[in-house]
Amino acid sequence: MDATKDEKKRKRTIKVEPGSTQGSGDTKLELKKVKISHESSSVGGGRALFYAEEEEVEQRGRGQGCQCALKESKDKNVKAEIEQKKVEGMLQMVMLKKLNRLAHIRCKKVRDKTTEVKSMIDKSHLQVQNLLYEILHLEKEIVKCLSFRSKDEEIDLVPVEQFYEEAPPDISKPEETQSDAHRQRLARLDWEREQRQQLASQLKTAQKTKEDMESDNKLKQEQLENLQPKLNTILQSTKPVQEYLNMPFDAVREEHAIAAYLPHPLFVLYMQTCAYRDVADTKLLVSLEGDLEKAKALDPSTTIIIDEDSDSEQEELEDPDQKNKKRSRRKTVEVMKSDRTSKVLMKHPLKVMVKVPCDDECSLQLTFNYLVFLKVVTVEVKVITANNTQTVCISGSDLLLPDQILKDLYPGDRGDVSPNHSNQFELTRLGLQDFSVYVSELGQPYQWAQKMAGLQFLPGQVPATPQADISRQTMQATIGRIRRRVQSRLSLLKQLTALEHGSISVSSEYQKLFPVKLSSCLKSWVRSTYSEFVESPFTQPLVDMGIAGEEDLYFKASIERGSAKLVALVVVGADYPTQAPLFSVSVDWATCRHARNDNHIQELEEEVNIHYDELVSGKSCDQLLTNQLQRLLMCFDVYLETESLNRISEGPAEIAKEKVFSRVSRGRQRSKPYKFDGNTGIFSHR
Amino acid sequence: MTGTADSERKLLHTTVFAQCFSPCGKYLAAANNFGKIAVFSLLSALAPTADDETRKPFYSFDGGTRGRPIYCLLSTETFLISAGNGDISAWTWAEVLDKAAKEAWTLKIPKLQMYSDPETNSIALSKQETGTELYGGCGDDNVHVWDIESGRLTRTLSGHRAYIHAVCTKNMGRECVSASEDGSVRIWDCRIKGEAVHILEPYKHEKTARADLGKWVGCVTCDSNEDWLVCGGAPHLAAWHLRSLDPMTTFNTPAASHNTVMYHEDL
Repeated sequence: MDATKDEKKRKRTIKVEPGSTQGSGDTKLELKKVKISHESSSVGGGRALFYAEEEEVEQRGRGQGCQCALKESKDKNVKAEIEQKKVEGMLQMVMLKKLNRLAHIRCKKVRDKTTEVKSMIDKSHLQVQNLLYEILHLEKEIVKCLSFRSKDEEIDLVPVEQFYEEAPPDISKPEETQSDAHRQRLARLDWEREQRQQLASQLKTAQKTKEDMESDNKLKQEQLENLQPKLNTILQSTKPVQEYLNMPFDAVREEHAIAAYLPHPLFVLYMQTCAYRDVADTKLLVSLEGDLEKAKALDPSTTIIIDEDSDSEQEELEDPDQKNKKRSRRKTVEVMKSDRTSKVLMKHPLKVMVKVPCDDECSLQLTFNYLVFLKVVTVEVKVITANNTQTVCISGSDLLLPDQILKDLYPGDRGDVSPNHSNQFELTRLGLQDFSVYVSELGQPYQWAQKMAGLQFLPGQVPATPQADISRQTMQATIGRIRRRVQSRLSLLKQLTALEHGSISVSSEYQKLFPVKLSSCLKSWVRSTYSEFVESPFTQPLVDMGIAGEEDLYFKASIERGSAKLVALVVVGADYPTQAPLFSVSVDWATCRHARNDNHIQELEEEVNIHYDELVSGKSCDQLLTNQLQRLLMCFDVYLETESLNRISEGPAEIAKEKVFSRVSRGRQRSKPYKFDGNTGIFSHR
Repeated sequence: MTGTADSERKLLHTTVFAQCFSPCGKYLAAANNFGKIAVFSLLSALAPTADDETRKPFYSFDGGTRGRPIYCLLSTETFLISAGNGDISAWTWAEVLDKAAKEAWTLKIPKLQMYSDPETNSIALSKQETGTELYGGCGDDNVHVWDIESGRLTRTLSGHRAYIHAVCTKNMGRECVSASEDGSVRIWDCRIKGEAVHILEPYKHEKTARADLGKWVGCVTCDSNEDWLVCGGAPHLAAWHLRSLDPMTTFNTPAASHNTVMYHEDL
């Protein structure tokens, strides 16, 4: 104990040693230092005890163990003590080493033990981990197993109460199954199976019956199909009978069936025209054309709503955010606009075709369309001429044009303005142009066509439903006018062609109205224009009065005799010959005279323009233009001859007198004898 | 021609040949070449508030010539006398203004030849002690004189070689002057039958002659002093001194011939 105490002390003193406390390597050095200090002290003992005391103090400061011993022994046993101390010191060192070694060994041992134990702990830790993992796994498996649904769970079973009600007792076995859920389940499954078997057998029987019925149906169908050709042959065989009896029932019935799909105004038109044809005018042809399927598809009750599109488009424009969103889905504006245009201008798919024959070869084909949205009837005209009819004429080239030929059939009815007054508002509202722009594709909305369809557009009134009365009143007159118009146009064309060739061909019945020999002759006949007419100096009163309009036809004729030339500007109205052509004359013979500066020319014009009744025979006024021209020639002759007679200058006159006059002049105006009496051949005054 | 009626055409070819005032002076009657006489109300036509409607005739009727021209109109105290192609007709002013004109009486021109149908170009009235006489210058080259009250033809003055354009009376009706197509102006003494007292031929005088227009004399009138006579037509319009039977003054109207001439406000 004491030794160890000392050891400990020593250790302590060693440790306390200033300088290094490095380890056992250095302890020796330090010990040596202590020794040296010891030695120094002991060596220097002799030198000074004074120092020995200080060192004792120092030593005491360092340690106490050996100090006591040193204190006791003073100068005598110093060397022996030192020797002893040296040995002790060596022994201590050996002990120290041993202790060190022991410490190391102990340490090592402890360490080994620790590692051993640690490895054991690790192992068990690992085992724990494994077990935990397994537990987890097993739990999962359990959960899986628990959630396993056997097939029998998928079967919808009838509810338990129902099961007990329905199932027969030998399956349900209520006594057992009530208590035992498993058995109950089994019983229920059994019952299910039985039910299903029953239903399967029912299905089979039902299918069989169905097949039987199908085959039955097929058979009957075939029979009917075989019947159809037989019926057709019967119908065919009745056709000759119908023709013989002149009662085309079939054709009429078919047409009537189609007519059922006509829009109301066209229907009225069709029925009235058929009635008229049957009663009055058998040569008229009436038929229906167009796409029946489309007409059937067109539901008459849907009114075409155009406002929605335009309104919704406006809304779009006002709200740009919305517009952006919807842009991918909406159509472009142009497509929408053309859609709207086509909707507004849509024609009904069915149309009525009326063919008016005018004399034996030529005829006029009128196709009546109905514009569903605008509620007007339009007409498309086609002129059908026979091969030998004269239609080529330079000056009259546009007389037979389809869109011109029926203009002004009734005064003022031009056919380029829609008679339905609300149409103009509709068209501007929807941003479309004036109706006259679309006339070329839609046909012309003549007033008489509206009347024929029973539509009457009075200003300020909402157009009522088509009425048959209106149609009936005007039908005959209109057809008559159309026929006369075509005939007069054709005859006018004939006359114009003859005139272009320079010959005035007067037909035999009018020959007696004119003298046999006329010295003046027609030099040229050309087509003129309204602007040329207006520019002439002497036509101003005619234009101012409204007699000559822009729509009329203008011609220029020039007549010559000797050095005298006559130029006549002729105005022919669209309604020739109901309105006679008007002649405006100027004579160039040394001076220029016309109606404004020469009374005689005015009277000449009066003779031709106003007193034309004799030039027209009772039945037709077809030759009016030619006759008027002939009369013009005749009067020109008279004018020239009487003028020559009036001169008092001597010598031969340029124009010789060839005609017989009763009196050269008469009355305050010294009128010339323009009137010709066919019986006596004498010219006299009116 | 857009909506032409025949009436519009006729308008282009209408000539008004004669006009005269009603005896009260408030109305004007005019006659045209289609034989119609139209009566205008001057008060409404010339008023400051006049418009197109008031300037139209308030009444027009057919003058008895069946569509042929009426060449002259005369007004007496009670009658409106019209003459043209056909007979001379008279209408009472009262009936005319009542818009119910009917022919009061007619005077027929004697048919001297077969095929002639003479017109009356000019009429003139002269008041005599014996009655009112109507002078008519006619197309048969004669001046006929009727007595209005009896309606009889009293005299015929013939001598012209062509039809008569105008007549007028002078010297209180004792003489009458006629101008004719044959180029002569004849002065007749109404009491003497036979040839004309004086004959003037303007186309032969170099002062007045216009050869290119012809020789016919269209109009003649005398002034109230009976000294001067103005006539014109194809020859120049000239004032002739009756004593010397010479054209004293010519009125230059280039390229125009004359249809009527009258003295206005002769001083």
